[in-house]
Amino acid sequence: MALKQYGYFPGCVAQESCKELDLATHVVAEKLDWELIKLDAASCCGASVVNDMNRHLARMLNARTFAEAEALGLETVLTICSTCTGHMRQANHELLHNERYMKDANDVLARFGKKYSGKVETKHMAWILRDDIGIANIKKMVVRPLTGMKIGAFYGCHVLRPEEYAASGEDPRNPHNMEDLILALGAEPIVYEGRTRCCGFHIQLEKEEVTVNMVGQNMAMARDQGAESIVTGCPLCHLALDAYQTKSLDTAFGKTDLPVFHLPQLIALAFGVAPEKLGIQKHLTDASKVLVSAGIA
Amino acid sequence: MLVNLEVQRFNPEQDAAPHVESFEVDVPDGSTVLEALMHIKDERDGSLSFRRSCRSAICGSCTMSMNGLDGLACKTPIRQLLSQFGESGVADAKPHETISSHAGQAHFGAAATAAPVAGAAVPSSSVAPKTTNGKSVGTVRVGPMHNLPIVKDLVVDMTRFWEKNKSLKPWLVPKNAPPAREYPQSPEEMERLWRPANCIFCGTCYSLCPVVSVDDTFVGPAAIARVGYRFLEDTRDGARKERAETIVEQNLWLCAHCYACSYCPKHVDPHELIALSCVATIEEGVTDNTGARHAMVVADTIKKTGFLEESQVIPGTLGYFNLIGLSSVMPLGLRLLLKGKMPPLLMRPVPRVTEIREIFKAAEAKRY
Ligand code: SF4
Ligand code: SF4
Ligand code: FES
Repeated sequence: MALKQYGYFPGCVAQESCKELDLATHVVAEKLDWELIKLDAASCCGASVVNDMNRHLARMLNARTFAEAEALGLETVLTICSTCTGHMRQANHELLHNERYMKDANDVLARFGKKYSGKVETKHMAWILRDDIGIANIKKMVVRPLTGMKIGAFYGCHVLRPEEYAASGEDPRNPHNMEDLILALGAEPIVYEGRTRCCGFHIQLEKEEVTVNMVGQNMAMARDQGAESIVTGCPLCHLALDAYQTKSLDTAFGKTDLPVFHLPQLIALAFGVAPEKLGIQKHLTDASKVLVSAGIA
Repeated sequence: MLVNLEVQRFNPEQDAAPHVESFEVDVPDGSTVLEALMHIKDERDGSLSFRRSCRSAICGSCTMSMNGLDGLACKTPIRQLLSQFGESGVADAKPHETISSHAGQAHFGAAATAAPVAGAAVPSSSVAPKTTNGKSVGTVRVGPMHNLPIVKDLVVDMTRFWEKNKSLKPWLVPKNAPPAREYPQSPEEMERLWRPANCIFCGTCYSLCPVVSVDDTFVGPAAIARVGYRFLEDTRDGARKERAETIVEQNLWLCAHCYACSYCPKHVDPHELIALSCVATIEEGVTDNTGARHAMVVADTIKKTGFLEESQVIPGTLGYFNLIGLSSVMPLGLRLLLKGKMPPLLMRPVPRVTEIREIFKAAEAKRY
């Protein structure tokens, strides 16, 4: 039997335009002897968008997802997206702190024979790595240290704020789980101000140039501190940072071309997996130079 | 406790650019950043400029950046910053729990509980540690608020901030002729107004907002929460529809949902009230705009398949016949396609998707 079982919630983006994230997650899970039980029938978490329309909807959709996990006997849902993590935790927080919300949700779940009793916790993969495996044990599994790579972490807002439910267990203004991981993988973590800021993804369709500027601002901060690549635990951040850096040339912040890795891709690289097996070639900002100079590709 | 304050100074009459000046000051343990600044002004350099009045988080005038993060100087103990950032005053991606157990407070506690037992030797650990020892407990970096022009040192010109608040009409437009006595409000009605009413216009949220930092057309969190939402939700107000139109014109939907404004020192939680303002504009039928279309098309795809369908959301948001809008996203789409990153055009619905439709029915029947 596998060492650990988790309810797996990949989220929409890792099943649509960032399939490489889902792929890399499975590669890492296999190495760690995790059994990821996909919550097949789960819906979208609603992101910030459903919150902007109907708060009941966001809570009820996620209550259904939690009920799916409970029905499978699972108490932890593993997420690989900061946005899913934050919004699922928000829904759970509201359900647990307001009896009426919980009752409303259970009333509708009862129509199709479901119930949520409030026992499920959503955790980002990075937190599970930290808490259930331990950074020291991850370090022991490294077969190809990422020596020489200078990597800036990009956390994604929703695993940091609002503190009352994002609650990574670290100070959200000075978090460290990603840097600890970078260090354990043999690379050098670069700390820069933009690491806890917003990528601007959610407004790319509202006004693209704002997103481009926010990406440019954050990546320039990373570049100026000496980062040569970025790692993120959020596929939405990944889309924004990966796709808009080429455009950030037009901004006041100047050119940056830092390749952006998904968290499990970086771990898998240090575990000895070939970059092609992790979909890294699908990214828009080319990673080959950085990988070659680290002796990986 | 000896603490090192690195204060950003700028005098437009003398300086070409801001510079940093260091002050090592001896202040009582438990001091706030404001108390340390007042100490500098009183004893070291009377020309240091900053705003303050109430010293108790009520007037909203002492907002500044401390270790790069904005907040009220009178509500921020120096010890708290040390516990977040350590001695350096710079985010370093390291845990500082040892300091966060508040060396200062721990010794307060010890002093209070170690009630003197007659004749008992005082254990050395309960003796208040000499925090100074001639060595500072750490550095705190202080600068002016972000996103507004500096007048001098830590004082910024708030004009733009007030203009944006005014743009949302911060006054009641009565629905009916005023009643003979006061306007009655039910407890439920009041409940909606409590949170925005707590706002003290300190500007912390405005200073933290990353969208304001790159786009001055965004009206910003304080105005939306304290003025926009406040009057959209006031049952005595008769101009809800116009307010909904105005707030959308002032770029309500440009909020990036980063929740940086959740650090509001008065727990107004502007990010929450922004989301509720979005709901209100849709309720008022102000939906012919990118933001509302985006929200509605996302909900629609979830209703159909359970997924947020990326391939449907872009044309749905920009409008299927918006050739100019669509052509601007084409190059990116093309690059995604070439890299094999294009989202599938149609997602297979999740199992038991009818349950999701059931949920939509229930949720749509409710007001938030
Ligand atoms: S919402 Fe909060 S942070 Fe913003 S101005 Fe009001 S009190 Fe200050
Ligand atoms: S949530 Fe919106 S208003 Fe608040 S800081 Fe972020 S972008 Fe600005
Ligand atoms: S001095 Fe009044 S809020 Fe700080």
